[in-house]
Amino acid sequence: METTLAAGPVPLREIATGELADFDAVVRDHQPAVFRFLLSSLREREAAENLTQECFLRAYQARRSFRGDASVRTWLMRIAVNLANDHRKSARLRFWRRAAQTSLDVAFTGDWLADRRSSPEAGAMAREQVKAVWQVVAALSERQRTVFLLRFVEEMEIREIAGVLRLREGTVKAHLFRAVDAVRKKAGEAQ
Amino acid sequence: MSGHLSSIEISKWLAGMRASDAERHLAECSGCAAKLERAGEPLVRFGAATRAWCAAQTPAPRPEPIACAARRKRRFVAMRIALAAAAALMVAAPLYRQHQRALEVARQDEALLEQVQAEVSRSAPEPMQPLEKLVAWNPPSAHSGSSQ
Repeated sequence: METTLAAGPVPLREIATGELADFDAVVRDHQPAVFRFLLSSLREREAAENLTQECFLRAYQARRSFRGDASVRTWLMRIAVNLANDHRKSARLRFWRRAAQTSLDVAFTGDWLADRRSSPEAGAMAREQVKAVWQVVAALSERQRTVFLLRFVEEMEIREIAGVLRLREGTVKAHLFRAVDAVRKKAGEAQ
Repeated sequence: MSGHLSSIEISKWLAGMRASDAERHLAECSGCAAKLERAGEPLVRFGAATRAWCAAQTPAPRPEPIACAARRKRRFVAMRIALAAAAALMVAAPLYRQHQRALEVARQDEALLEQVQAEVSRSAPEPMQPLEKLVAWNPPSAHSGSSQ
């Protein structure tokens, strides 16, 4: 079942009680978004799967400390971002060695465009754009990439991203501006 | 705002830095509004394509509830701790025995040294010690020697 990103947060009392069925609902509702963020961020399917599982295990173990200051999605994404950062640190060399190979995979994300354009040329151009954006995203700093993915893939609001990364909204906007500007320059070349 | 939106201002807008004068201008200028929409298209396409790509990669739902996985992980961690403790014991036990042996040897050496010291400190060999009791060995002092 695909869950929309607009799905509201699970009531906090459900988390606080730690009831098994309720936490399974949390997993069911948020697993696609957590996996999506980790996959787009790390570009390693296996790592994304493992870290998604780890994210929910950690959340489950820490569920009693969840005070509801943020939404469940923000809380889970914060754990996911930390796991992704730890993973990069622990496997930095391997990550960058594999980046060149995996960037080929993500270049094909353009093929997943549900483009209803009639013109094959327009479709090809759209795919090229997506490929160009991915190339820029891969070259961004980790922080900029994370902000960019949370904004344009997870469609999070600036305030929510600030909550996930524990940054000020102005800082998030500054990171996002640099990323967007770089992407626009590159995507402009692809047009 | 004096003119149309610059490229930087469009990037700022897309990044959420939305100035009120830019907002006013966009409401009035269809050219800039269209320019902004075109600028945002690659970002929207990127998001949509990435979501679709990720959805195709999404693993099947987990067959076991998260609590079971958590318990399994706890057991796994406990097993690892137990194995590490056993390994540490296997390494430590011979070292401890070796240390104990070294202490025992040191104790024996100490006892031997004390024995030797006792032997050496005697004024006469053991078989001659009864004779020693018979002889009063009082070396003459310098004062008594000069008076004779």
